[in-house]
Amino acid sequence: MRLEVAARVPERGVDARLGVEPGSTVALLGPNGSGKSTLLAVAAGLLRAPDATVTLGEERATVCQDGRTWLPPHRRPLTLLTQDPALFAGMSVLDNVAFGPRARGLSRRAAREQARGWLERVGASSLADKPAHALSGGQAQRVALARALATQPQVLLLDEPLSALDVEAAGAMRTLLVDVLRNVTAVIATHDLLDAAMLADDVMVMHEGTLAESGPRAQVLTRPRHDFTARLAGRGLLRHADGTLSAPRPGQVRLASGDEGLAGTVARVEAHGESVRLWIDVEQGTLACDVDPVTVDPRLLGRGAAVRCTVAAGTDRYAA
Amino acid sequence: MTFGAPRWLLVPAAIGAGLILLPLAGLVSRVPWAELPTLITSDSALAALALSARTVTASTLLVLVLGVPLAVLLARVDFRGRTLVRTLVLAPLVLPPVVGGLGLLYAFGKRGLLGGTFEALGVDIAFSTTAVVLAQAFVALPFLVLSLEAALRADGTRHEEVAATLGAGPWFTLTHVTLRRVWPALVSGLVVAAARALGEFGATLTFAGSLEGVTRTVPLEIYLQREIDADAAVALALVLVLVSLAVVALAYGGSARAARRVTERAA
Repeated sequence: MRLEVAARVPERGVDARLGVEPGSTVALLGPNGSGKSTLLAVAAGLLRAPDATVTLGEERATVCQDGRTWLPPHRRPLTLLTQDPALFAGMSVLDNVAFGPRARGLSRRAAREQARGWLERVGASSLADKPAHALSGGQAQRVALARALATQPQVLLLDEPLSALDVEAAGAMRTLLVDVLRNVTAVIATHDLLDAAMLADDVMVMHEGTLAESGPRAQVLTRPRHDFTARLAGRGLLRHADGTLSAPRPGQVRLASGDEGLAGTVARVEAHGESVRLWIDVEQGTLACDVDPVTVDPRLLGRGAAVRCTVAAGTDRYAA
Repeated sequence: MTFGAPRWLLVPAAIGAGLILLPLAGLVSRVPWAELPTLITSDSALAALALSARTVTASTLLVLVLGVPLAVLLARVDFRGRTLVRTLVLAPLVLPPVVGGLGLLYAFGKRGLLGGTFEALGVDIAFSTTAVVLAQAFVALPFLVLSLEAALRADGTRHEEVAATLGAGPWFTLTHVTLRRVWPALVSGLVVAAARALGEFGATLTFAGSLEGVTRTVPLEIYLQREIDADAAVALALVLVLVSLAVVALAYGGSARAARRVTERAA
């Protein structure tokens, strides 16, 4: 079902709208504090903003909230999964998953029946009889996902669902989400490019409480229009004299010697596995360049170092 | 054993424990063990025990039915004058019970604020068993509210929000999530309230009087017998002490176990 959210929350500096097409997944991409969680909380009904509209569906839409209508969270046909699984302690895993169906009025037996199905869906059948507090972080988040799915929401909202997990658990959970989110209408708020790349059909980039740019995943991530989108996508961004943009990947940028290429200064230095990524401010914008920290001149690894770099020929140029 | 506190604390701590334990020991030293069965099965003693059992059960239920909503509202609903309401609800903790009894009399008694209403309904509360229950509930209610409200605040609303997004309405959430999470505090608050109701004396005497079988609960019977037959008073006192201690041990033992479970869970 189509979800539309528009919210102005001045006290959190948020003024943005968000739309998801039926059956598709939107990644709400942005750094912490950019307003992603606020938008999702408004959609779920956990935050009552005076100036907000939330509708579900097209013509005869379910109005969750507008100037006159206010549906409390439990009447909204959507659910929210956050980074904190918040399983109900003192209940078994199975009863946690059965919670939504029970709240809907199903008998304990029928609710548990359904819950078993959902646990199987997330590959956690073996946990059914464990007490909720005995799970690891990754297991708990899997169960929380099953518990959310068991409510059979029209729209599934995910707020940084992987950010509290260790790398291994996050990877397994991401793989599970790829499967689960197929044909489900979902919004996933994340600051991780990988989540957007693997899970989303469309990407909306949030910056300082507003929507900076949006579009199909490949377009937004390979042809960014804003510096922070390029940064999130791990690319540089150059604004050319003819009004076009290019976003070279780090692999397309090399440090140069002599007076070749573009002059710039090192703005940030980040460790990336075995290499070091330099973010270099140049006259036309920013470039990212991966260097080997062992072989490179150590003086170039400091902030403010003057460097020159070249961009590989044939880097994609696109209209601003 | 490691000693995790300054050693000299032992001295005032021992004196403090003694202050409480010595009177209990004094009481036990005067118990007429031989006549004990006869003394606590006399007509008046049995009447007092039965009345106490009945009234404490009723007042504890009343505290449960009224105290849980009060604690939930104070902890979860932001309204004007909340601080004032909270302060006033705790008043019975600091008021001398006699003063509470006077207040009850002037509120629910024949010539009290609601006396006319009750008279029209043909009910006379003062100096009845109902008055005993009201007096006990009056002094005991704050114990439950205090304990439960603190637990609700400490627990936060995170799980209630999750329940709401899972489609659980306010009542389902309250009964299946909120109260389950604060269960230990609810039980211990209720048990302490029951213990306080059992020991209630001043408010009962002022508001309900001392009529055998109707309003003369165990504490009143003890006070009365003290003048007539000190042995009977001591025997009943022993029963009261044992029951109260059992109740308190139950409450603290239970909540300590529950707290340990919660801690283990968090770890």
